[in-house]
Amino acid sequence: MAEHHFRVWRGDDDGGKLADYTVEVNEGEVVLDVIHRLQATQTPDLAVRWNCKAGKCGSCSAEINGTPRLLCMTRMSTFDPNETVTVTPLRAFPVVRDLVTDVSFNYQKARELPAFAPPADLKPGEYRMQQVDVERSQEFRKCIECFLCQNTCHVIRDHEDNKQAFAGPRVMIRAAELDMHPLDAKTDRKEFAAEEQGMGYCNITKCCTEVCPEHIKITDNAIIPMKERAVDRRYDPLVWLGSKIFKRSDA
Amino acid sequence: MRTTAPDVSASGPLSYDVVIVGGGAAGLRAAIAVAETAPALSVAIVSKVYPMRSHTVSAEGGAAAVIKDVDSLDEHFRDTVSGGDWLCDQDAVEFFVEEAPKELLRLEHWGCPWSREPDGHVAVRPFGGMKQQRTWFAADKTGFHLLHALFQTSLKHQQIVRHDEWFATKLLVDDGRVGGVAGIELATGRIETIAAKAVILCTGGCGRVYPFTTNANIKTGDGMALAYRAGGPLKDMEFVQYHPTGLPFTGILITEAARAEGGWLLNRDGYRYLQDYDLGKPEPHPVFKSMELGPRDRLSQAFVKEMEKGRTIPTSYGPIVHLDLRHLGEQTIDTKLPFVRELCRDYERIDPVRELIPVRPVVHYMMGGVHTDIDGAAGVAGLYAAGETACVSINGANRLGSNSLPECLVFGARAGEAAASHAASAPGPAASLAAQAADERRRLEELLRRDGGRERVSTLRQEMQAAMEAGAGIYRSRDDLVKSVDRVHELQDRFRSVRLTDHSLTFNTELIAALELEFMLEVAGSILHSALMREESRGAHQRVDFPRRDDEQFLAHSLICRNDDGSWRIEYPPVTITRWPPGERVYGR
Amino acid sequence: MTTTATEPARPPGARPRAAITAKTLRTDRWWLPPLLTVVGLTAWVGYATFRVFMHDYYWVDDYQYLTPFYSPCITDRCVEGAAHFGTYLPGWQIVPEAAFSLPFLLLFRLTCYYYRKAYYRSFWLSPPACAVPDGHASYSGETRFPLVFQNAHRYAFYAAGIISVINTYDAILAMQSPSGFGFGLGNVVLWGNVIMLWAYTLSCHSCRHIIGGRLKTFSKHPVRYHLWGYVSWLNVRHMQLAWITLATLAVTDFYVMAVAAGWISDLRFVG
Repeated sequence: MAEHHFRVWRGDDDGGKLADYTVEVNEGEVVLDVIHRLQATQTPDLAVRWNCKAGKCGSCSAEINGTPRLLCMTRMSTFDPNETVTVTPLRAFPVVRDLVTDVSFNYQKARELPAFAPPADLKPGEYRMQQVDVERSQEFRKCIECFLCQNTCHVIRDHEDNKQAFAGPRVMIRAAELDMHPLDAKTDRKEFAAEEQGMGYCNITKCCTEVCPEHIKITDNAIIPMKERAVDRRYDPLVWLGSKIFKRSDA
Repeated sequence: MRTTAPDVSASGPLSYDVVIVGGGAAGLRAAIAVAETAPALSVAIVSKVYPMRSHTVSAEGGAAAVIKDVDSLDEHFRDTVSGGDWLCDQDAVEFFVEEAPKELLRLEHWGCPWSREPDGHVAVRPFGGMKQQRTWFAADKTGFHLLHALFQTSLKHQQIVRHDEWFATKLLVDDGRVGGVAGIELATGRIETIAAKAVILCTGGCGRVYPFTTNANIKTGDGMALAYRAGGPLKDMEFVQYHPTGLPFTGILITEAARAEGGWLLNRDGYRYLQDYDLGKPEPHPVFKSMELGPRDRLSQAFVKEMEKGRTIPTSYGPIVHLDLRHLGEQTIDTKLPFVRELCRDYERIDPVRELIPVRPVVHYMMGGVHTDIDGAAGVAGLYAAGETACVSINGANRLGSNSLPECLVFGARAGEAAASHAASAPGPAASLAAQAADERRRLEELLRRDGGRERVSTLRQEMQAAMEAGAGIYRSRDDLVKSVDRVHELQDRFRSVRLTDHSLTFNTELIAALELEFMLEVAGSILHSALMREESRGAHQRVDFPRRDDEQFLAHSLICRNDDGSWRIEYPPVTITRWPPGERVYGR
Repeated sequence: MTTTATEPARPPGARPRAAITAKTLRTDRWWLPPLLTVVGLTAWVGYATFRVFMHDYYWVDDYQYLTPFYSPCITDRCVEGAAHFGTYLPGWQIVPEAAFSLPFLLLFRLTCYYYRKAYYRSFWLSPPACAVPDGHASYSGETRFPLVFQNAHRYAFYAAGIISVINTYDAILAMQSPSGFGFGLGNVVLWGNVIMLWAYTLSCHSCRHIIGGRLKTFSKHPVRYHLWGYVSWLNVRHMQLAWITLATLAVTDFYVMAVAAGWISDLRFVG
């Protein structure tokens, strides 16, 4: 057991500040345990979201020492005993109170994306898929919607005005997942990604991949492939010619 | 800090045809069912968390439905009924096993990435208490992928409105008819009536009434308490499932799939102790319905017996046994059970490829819940329930692993359809609801501002959890139950002087915790009363003072009702038996 | 308790974010990777520019070593043995000997998905590091001219493939000595460079896409799926290969220069 110095942002949409606490830390604990101890012993009115405490529900997203992370997946043993641990709310979204932010932006963008569209003539029970094809989309479906990628992406984090035009990495991997799904019959997902989701805003600086707690290779496996797929359609005469000559659309 | 309520008159009253409380698998499936069967109706999902935070994400192992040629609906029926120790309503089970494959195939059309066989068909795996391979899975995050598919599908329907982070505090009932719910919006603290012609409760279980559970923080039995307080009976509440393999301290679940793939349970001596408990002989490879693939109630009970014999391993977090996956090899573990390896590494700092996993039984699931018929109707006109909140009952005295996800789908859909057809013909909300809502608003505001109280929410909650573990654990006795009943009554009294230190209206987590505690005390009381009155041992309900199953007296559901003064009464309507009279539960032979 | 927010300019209607004074609360040395990138790239570009316009010490006649910075050698200045593909351009000071290949190689690396990340972060500070604010007030990414042409990476990849073939050809020709077949340390250096260049070129994201990434159904194309698997294995190492090839290019060039200038003599194993 040891004492640890914490700074936690307290406030709401009228303003706020970093408050200092000295709190006990036990072996094996994560930052969320310490936040709970603060609630139990010093400040019961500290607002924080949490639920499963096992890195599955994506509730407890925040920033720890300036880096977007899940509170329940950040072990206290990763900090130096004398190091101050600073916990702040997500910075890209409107603050509600203390560590709680309003992440509804992400749900709006999710709703704008056309849903999975299987071929109309395929009846229940007629699906056949190979495991390799399933696994490709399972990577993207691992997403727990913690929105750390959305929060850290500088396109909207540093430029509020881009929120209109840019959907963010979480929603772009969803578009990629559907475009790579053998049984998705919608053919204009690349155009949607380029035109409606603002894929061109992404300058592939990879912060989304860096912060993803599920270790999804967002940039390499979703966004860049989607950019390349858009290039197929829009910029590449060789591929266009090939598809005309060999009459292959999907290949 | 904001402490005055924002002006809400501008936003107008909230009113829908159907309101669904809870946004997990059952809730979303119900919402989609309403939207598909009656597109003209408006639907709202009122959830205390954002989408994809619901506890369905934690279901790992899979979803059972007959798909292979060697399997049959009859076998799924028989496994379920004997697994439930004949307390299941057999008409409901028949309906369930027939609908389950259709629902899972429908999920496929909604994008659920089921894992596959080499020929492209859906892959199935064995599971505890199941005689055939019939558990569909999506890696080992089945519930997660399933919820994902449901959520994405729900987005297609513009008429489905979500009220995320709203906590439903009361069911509004007028003249025996549901008229909506009162709810508090967490972000603003506004307390509103959400009027509805039909309400479907899909809030999941109540594992948090116990100290050691796989259930997430939100599993506080809200739907059960809402119905119970509104006069709807709760059914079979004494049947609480302990999952045999939880990680000590955190309570994080190690999926049953780990045993289905061939994992062994070992005691202190490295001995596969289940062979001593009439669960079959140890074979090197998994055998259906035998040893580690026995039902959860029997496995958890065997743990307690081992502990009494001193053959478990003591640790600082209590006694444990070991789950051994080492003989499966790295490749099987990585392809079939990647999440198990991840959890062990993250939370126990061990690698199951080379090391033994410490496990102990942990509260996992409520077989009981809001009493409903096969349509999900809960005994008050316009009130429905589905999923773990509800008790139809298909799980009887013990649920089989991988039956709960299809249950959410089958009965979520059924409740959605029934609620839609009820709402289509029901009259609008009664005028008296406004007065009820005003009362509720006053009650909550009083709680928020109360001065002079002395009890703290966290203290009361801990005492309740201790009482539940002492009285309604794996083995129960009259003496312990009576003590715990008294304890919970005392805690309910003390709750009246609970005091909040946070008076803010904005995202007041302490207020929500207090409201949840109030609900949990109701549910805890119903579990203890039901357990006390059932003087037999059946499935997950084991009485040391009544060690035998008693079909003469108790081949019946316990239906507990709350009287207006907070007292209770229990009735015992008979179990529906259509074609398989009670017999012996046989495992491993 | 109100403090001044440093959040980015808020359009009308947008609700306030948490008012946190510090621009970043990161406590690690987040500035180090971009700094190293700036130092590394600047040093390399400086060296390459100096060498390209030196117009000398690019060819070792005895062993037929040609530095990649001068390949293919196509100006009138080229010594006879080095000009395998003929000479087409005037030998002016500002025309590099490899005037055909250098622009494409530059384009290939400028539009490379890894280098883009590296220089957007380090030179353009957009953003300098994750959760550290963008150095610019407004941002339109790669949606407009000229950055929209980053999407032409694929053409640069095709060109880079051709140039890698030429570099391979150079490496084969260099297995010479005045008495016929020969092999020396210079050949090891040249082959090392060529192999790494291939690895870098094939690990390109565009290559990964063309080989198999563009398929919707892997299982219908088992051969391409397997090739995609190999390219993906390389692609994970694209960043490392990007830096390794900068090093091998510079080392190869320096080695050829040193031998050509007579500062050292090649260590010979055969011939």
